[in-house]
Amino acid sequence: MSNIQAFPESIGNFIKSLPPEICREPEMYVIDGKVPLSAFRPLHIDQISQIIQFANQYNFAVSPQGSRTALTFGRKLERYDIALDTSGISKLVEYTPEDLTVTIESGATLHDLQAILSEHRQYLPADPNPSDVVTIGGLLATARSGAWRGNVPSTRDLILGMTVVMADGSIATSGGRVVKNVSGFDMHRLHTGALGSLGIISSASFKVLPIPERNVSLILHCSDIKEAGDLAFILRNSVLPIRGLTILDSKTSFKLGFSYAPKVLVEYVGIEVSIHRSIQDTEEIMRRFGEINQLEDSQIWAEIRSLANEKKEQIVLRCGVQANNIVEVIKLAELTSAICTWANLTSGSVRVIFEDINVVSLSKFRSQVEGLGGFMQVETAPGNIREVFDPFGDIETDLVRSLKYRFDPSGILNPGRWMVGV
Amino acid sequence: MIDCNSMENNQLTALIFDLTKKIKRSKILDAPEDLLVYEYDTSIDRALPDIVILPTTVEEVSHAVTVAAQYDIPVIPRGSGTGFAGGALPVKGGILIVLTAMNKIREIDAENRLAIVEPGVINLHLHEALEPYNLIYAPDPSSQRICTIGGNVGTNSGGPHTLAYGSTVNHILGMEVVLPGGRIVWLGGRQLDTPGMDLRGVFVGSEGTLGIVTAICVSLIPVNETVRTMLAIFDSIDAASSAVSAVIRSGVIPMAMEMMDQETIKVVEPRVRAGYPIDAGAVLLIEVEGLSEVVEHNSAVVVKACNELGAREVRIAESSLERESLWEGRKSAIGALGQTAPAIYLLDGVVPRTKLPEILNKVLLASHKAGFKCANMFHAGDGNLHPTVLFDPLESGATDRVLELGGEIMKLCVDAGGSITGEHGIGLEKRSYMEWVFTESDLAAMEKIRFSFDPVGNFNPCKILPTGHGCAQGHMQITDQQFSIPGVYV
Ligand SMILES: Cc1cc2nc3c(=O)[nH]c(=O)nc-3n(C[C@H](O)[C@H](O)[C@H](O)COP(=O)(O)OP(=O)(O)OC[C@H]3O[C@@H](n4cnc5c(N)ncnc54)[C@H](O)[C@@H]3O)c2cc1C
Repeated sequence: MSNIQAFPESIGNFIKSLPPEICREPEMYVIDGKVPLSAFRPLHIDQISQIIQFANQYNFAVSPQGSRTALTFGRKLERYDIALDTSGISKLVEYTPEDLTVTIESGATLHDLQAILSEHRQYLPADPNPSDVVTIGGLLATARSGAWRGNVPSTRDLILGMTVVMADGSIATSGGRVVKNVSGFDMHRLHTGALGSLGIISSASFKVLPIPERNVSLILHCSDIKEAGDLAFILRNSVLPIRGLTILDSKTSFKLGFSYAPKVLVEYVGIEVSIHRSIQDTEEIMRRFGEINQLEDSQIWAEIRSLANEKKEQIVLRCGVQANNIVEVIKLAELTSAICTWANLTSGSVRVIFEDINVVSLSKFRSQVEGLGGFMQVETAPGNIREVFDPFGDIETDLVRSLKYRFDPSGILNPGRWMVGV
Repeated sequence: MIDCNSMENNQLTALIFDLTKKIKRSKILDAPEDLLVYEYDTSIDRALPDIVILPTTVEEVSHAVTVAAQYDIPVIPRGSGTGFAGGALPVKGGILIVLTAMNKIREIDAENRLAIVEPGVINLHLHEALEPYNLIYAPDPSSQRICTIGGNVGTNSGGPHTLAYGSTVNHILGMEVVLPGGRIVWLGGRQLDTPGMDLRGVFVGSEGTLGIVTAICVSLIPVNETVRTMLAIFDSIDAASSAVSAVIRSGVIPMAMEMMDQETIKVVEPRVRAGYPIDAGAVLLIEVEGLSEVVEHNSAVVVKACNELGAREVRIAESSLERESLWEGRKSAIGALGQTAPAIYLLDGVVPRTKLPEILNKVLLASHKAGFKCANMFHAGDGNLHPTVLFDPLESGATDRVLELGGEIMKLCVDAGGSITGEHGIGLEKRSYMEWVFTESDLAAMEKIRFSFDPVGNFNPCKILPTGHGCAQGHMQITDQQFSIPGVYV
């Protein structure tokens, strides 16, 4: 438990010791209805370290937050005393375009990073929901990905190193800034997807890629979901330069302004000749299926990404199954009254949105997906659901407990996000 | 922990008795002449295990690990022993678990693009098995004819095609692991991004310190439509290494970009007849893949970039036979070098690609100063150097001087903002260099990972981290104390 008694004095004194510009209004940082005792927006990594040291000393629970787009991912926090806004830590540390490597602080947004890289016609191929507003720290801590996952290298594939403020305030780095490196334990992989529960990511290094010269998005009309699945399989098995490949169920298609029927959405990237060839080959394939339209721009992908964060109260799931079970999961989601379902065939990931669903139906849906050899994870849900329904399902717990115990013995970093006490 | 090399005979008998409760006696080796075979890997050191086990099932592995825990003795996983860093050496004795008999490809699921293999499957055997499906498993270390996939997971192996596809970790969906203590778990699964922390990601490359891999689910990718292999011939290593950056600058990332210097060509060509011009200063072996239209375009870009940097000629392999022979030269280079000197010492370091010309010159200078010949054949596209020092271990003091030179070269990489290993791992060999790259608190954090998996510290002791686990500090000291006989090196 937080040492509430000690709070007023200890935190009061602590705040006095900090430059005033880094102290924020706690009301701006509500999570699941809870206002923290205090909030900080440090401007330097050493300040993060100072705040964490303080929190550790007085056993205050800290929740790091960047763009605040994924704070309901995971279980409800057991304790929440200090909000740590990382958006002030956003400097570019190093960028060598010729080496295809970049190091940036974690509070920079993906948008900031892409803007820097695009000056040299490079980018980090990441397309998380809801959009490029996510901070680099948030992108990593949640390991979110979208339609590109599996088709082109992702954040998980391109992360080269990381600096983290540990729960005792010490600063630890792993990996490096070169494109190939196996020195020491890859701690950066552990923090990627750890939901800020093992340390505060303060900067990260990536390998980046050239921006493809051209891209084109095609929407392929299908008569039913099975046909959409078959079509997506044919495309995935082709040699065409796919970056995005998504199956939309009828409702999602309709919501995005198309007809009420399943679609396959594909994006090809490359040089002019490869785009030309890709369109030709797809037209050839579509003779056996239905209509094909070339979209004017790639806006549709951004619209899909934002679906998951459209409404605060909605429930967003990510299911993972093998490619040959994707259609089955989409059908199950429809039967369970999902309002939107779309899937990335290459990564085997299906996103499902419910407006209203009870825990019994949620459990049933999970066991159906697990029956297909897959998993179902809750990415966003109101607190009352996450209180009673485990967002993660059947995961390895002993090792996670063991890691948490060693990385954060007092349990001050996002306590409870993974499981009771973790 | 018991230092097993001092294990009493009666203790050994009891240990074998307990092991045979679930493991056939024929799979347990303890005769001195059998143990000798497992005394070395491809590094410079040697160390004898107390017992070797050749399991064929996960239950046997788990039993051996459980028994080892009861006896408080070290456990060391080993594949083919082709590792260069001494990762598979039982420096504190104990049970060496050799996984080469777990060598079945259990499943190839072409529809879902994955395969499940046992850890002892030889990398090349999986590549061959996938041919009928028109699929590949991307990691292709130059040692693929002999190394195991379990070993590749252990070291997070790279290879020529890492430039485009990344290291082993990017191709592992999940794996079954026997943890220290004997519990069997799956980390990751049959899909990407399974829920929970990415224990899979942190396990790959942990060099046998966190557990033993007993099954691996790998992801597969389709064979590209067209491949073109080119040989760019340069008069100097400087021009060749500048061309590497020029190619990347042009916006094309080839599948592979490998360099061989004059010293290497001189040795390889007469033996392999790969078609490398014997008088060249350096050659670049460059491969582009993709749609035929793209390959056409990208190879033109590559040729132009090389020509602008003064390539004498850029040859394009006209047939698959010619292509294979160009690669054969590269893949046999280490073996060929091994035949020219009593011993070779192969280093593994990384520098930012743009610093290649500068660092290569410094490497050659340092070797020259130390009085050794040094050949270079390496993954140039990734800036991953493999300076290979030729020497005679029987010459007094030579081994020490070679190790010293190795350290000097690693320091050059570190000072250039690079790394002390790109693919071979830290193992035993580079533990003492870890402090050049990482601070005390970095290492303390890494130790937390290790202890989270192995609180007792009996799994592959004395590897990766420079301190702790009751080991002597660093490589040189261990060498002095325990390995007075110089080894067989490649
Ligand atoms: C000629 C030659 C060329 C080479 N080229 C390359 C190259 O291009 N790229 C590259 O990356 N490497 C290369 N290597 C190095 C070596 O082949 C790799 O490191 C390889 O991955 C080792 O595989 P192995 O089966 O021999 O493993 P070993 O050497 O037996 O073991 C390596 C490490 O992995 C651990 N380990 C082994 N099996 C398991 C298991 N089942 N579970 C957990 N841990 C395990 C061991 O404890 C040890 O730490 C080359 C080596 C040679 C001799």
